[in-house]
Amino acid sequence: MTDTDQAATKTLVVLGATSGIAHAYLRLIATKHPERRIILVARDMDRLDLVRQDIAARRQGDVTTIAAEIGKPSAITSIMSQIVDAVETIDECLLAYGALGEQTALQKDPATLEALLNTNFVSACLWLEALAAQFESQASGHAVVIGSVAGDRGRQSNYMYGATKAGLERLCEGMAHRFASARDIHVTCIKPGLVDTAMTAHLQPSGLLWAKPERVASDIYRAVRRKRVRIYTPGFWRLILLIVRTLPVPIFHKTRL
Amino acid sequence: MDQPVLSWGRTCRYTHEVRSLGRLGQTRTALFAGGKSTIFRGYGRSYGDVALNADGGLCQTRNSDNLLEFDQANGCVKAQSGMSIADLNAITIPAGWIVPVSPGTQFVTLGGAVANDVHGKNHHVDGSFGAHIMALKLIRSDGEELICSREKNMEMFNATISGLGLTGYIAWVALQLKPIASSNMQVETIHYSSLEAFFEISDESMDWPYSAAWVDCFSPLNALGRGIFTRARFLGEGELRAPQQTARLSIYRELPSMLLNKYTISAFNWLYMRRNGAQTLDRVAFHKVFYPLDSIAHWNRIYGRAGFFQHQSIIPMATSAPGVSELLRTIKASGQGSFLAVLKRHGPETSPGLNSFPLQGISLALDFPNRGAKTLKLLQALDDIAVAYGGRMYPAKDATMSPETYQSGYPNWTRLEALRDPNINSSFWRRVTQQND
Repeated sequence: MTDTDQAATKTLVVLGATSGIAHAYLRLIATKHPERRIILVARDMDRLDLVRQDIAARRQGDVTTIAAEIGKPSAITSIMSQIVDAVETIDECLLAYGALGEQTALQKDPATLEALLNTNFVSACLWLEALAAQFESQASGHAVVIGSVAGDRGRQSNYMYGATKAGLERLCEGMAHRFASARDIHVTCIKPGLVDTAMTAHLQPSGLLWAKPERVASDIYRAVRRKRVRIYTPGFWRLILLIVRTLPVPIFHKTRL
Repeated sequence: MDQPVLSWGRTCRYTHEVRSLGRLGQTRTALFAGGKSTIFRGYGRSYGDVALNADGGLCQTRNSDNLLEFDQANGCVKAQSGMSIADLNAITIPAGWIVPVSPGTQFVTLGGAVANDVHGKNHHVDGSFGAHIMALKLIRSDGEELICSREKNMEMFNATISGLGLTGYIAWVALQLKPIASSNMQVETIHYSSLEAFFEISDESMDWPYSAAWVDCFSPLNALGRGIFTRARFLGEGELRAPQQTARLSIYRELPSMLLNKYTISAFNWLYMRRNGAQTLDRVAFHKVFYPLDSIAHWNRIYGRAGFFQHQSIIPMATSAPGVSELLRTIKASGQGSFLAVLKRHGPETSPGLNSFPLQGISLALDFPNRGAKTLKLLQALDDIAVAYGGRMYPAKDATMSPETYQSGYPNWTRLEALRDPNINSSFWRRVTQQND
């Protein structure tokens, strides 16, 4: 059951471990690679502890948790050093936190907008540069970042969220380019479509476009093993977004997407 | 948000204010929101209205599915109530432990298994689900949180097992699992030609931990109760695998209801009876023995738009021979019935559940396509026969029994009513207790 792939990473750090996708991914790792060292970082201690309990029971081993303000730019340096103190090397880091935001509130309230930008983009940039430095010193490491199909084209319904995810994707892309010649350093951007998690519970998930977090988790697992730079999950979103991106502006502007 | 929710039998379709629990952290307000009563619902495999609450609140629990503890040395597991038996088996089987009692589908939550005190093919040796529960946590709408076990809060423990979800929200369940050395089974199938023969084979098969019989409900009267007896046991050694059981076939929409009638079912049964005679299969994966229907997603749609009813009754051993015989005669005379009819011998009840369905005796379960008034009349007749022979009906399968039928079978219902959380209710409970709220 445990595969003996040489590249199978040893230490997994999850930033935003209480997110639905991260939790599903952790369950998969707990089954497939129970030998891995796992460090979970999230803001809410109670929810984090429930994830810890679930993953520890599934893998029959300890899980380290750090409750911290991962989305707060000024806090990142100290959290990063806490993580490095705990594990020395970071073989894989999943960056899974983020907020959906509410478009009309973001348009009206600058403080809300600033908070979203800090959480989804500014802090993520700081995390990724901190990880990049760590990976360079280790000469290895894999950063896995949850982006979104919403980043593919700005739409009136959620362009602020989309812009942060688009920015994140460009960053991943550039960082993957930067490490193209480093054999063991990788960056993967995961672009999920509609996923049935707590983040989207208010949107009444049902219908063919909605995916379960377990499905997304297994796509992430495969993308990490194959060291992909970017994936859509489920895969059909690639086609949908191709269409959305290529719609001519006059037609696009007639839609309410 | 208001939306219609169907029973598994698809005969009850009621509007509910539907809420879903998240995977992490439930507040009491999420569990018992609003002024309306709530019923908790897992995978919705109950055939009738036990997990429905017409015009009230309905809280879906299946996202609350975290594993809290798993002691691999002793086979003790503690999990949140929304976890399914399928998911739990997938975790514990590789370590050599299996859920001790499982109904005919593994797509049920632990909470539902507790609430209905479900039984399986091993009832004659292992009792029902409740017999294996070590403890459970109950959250009541007034904020009280109770850890219940055979030692602590025992009255509430006994009322919650078979309590139809009425005593509070079951937050987690601690279970004693059953050790297995292999996930494969040895299976024997034996054709038998009469009800007497069924009783004989059941007697001979007491040392087989898993057994049940398929019955041809359209057999000639001189071969009443004939069918195929299946008995199975886990192998003493081999692989331990819990394959992800994905449906190989999915019924995409309701089939025309005319498809299943007396003639097509008789033809099916005739063919089925002519399968190979007595045979022994040495190595069959457990899920093929336990969950044959799980390989067809949405199989409940084959009965068409009108849906179907299930009758499941149990009659005490002493009166079971004439009782089951009369049930089968009545079914045959009605010309209604289906190809899914099951006879099962039950052992002494070891579950502490206050209102559990199983008792030492014989249970008969079968589906009836919904043909309106004549089906309801038949179900009423069958209920009356079961009651006349000292038996009772299974709430998880029922959509039609009368308050009298229910109350005569479950004299402890008044104790459950006394312990019921005032903010929990179900359509079933209102029906059988004749409340109007």
